[in-house]
Amino acid sequence: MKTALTRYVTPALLALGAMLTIANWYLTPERSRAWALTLAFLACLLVPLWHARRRASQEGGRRRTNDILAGAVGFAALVLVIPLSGKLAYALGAIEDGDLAKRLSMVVVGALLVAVGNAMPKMLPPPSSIACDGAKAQALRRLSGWTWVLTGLAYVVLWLVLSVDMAAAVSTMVVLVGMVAVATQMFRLWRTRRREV
Amino acid sequence: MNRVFKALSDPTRRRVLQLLRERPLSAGELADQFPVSKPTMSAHFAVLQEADLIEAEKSGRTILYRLKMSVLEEALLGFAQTVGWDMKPRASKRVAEGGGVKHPRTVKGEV
Repeated sequence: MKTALTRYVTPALLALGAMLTIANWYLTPERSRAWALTLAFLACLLVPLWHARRRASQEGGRRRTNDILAGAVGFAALVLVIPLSGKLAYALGAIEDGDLAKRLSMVVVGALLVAVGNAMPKMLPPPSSIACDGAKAQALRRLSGWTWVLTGLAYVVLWLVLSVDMAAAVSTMVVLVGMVAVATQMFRLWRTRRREV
Repeated sequence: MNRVFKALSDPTRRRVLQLLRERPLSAGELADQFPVSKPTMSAHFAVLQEADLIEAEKSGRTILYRLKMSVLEEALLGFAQTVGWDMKPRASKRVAEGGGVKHPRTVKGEV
């Protein structure tokens, strides 16, 4: 079954991305290599979208999988559309801050971290498939979820508040700390599982 | 989202969620913690399941419940616990307080 995401939203974002790239190419032809690469990337994104649309029309049942695929393509297109809009606005003289587009892209990435972290504790495997103590597995998922939500929020705030150079350094550190926190908990769970075996 | 708010508005359901935060529990283990009948507890479980806050799995003769809350829903639970969130409809609240619901014609007659 084709949903609004596979049918309209993702194709519209890809088309918008292509139009913005062409407009940027026209205004700043000296960066033609970058614009050609962007167009090639957008063309590559058409492959999974086409696949999702074809599957959606063939098998009506797997709506969720097709939506996830189309959503991922749409998100990739959105991450491109934002800086492309910013570059175009800067080239046209509509905005004076050349870093605004980069900041906005990073804010979207931070928002993605928040969204993924928020959904993480809800993505439960069947209890029978959990090889270790269910309580520990649940605690790990909750901790991972909270860690990524807080990391994402910090990421967004840092990119909105700090200078670009500073934000790039500090936000990378924040993400690394989040990864280490989750990895430590996973290691602890793995160790207790080995001891139980 | 409305279902989530409805599920979190009841103190018993909030307590169930709190207990499930520790570890997955069976229906019997959960029911033992509350001074209410089993059908009432089943109704509470149904509301929580409808809101997608818990998940049930049958293993043999027991039903095992486990938490299925997103971070936002957990934050809402924490908020509800802190402020003592109690969202009863106004009419039923009045009935509970002994006031009853006045018929419009009676009110007009009194005036």
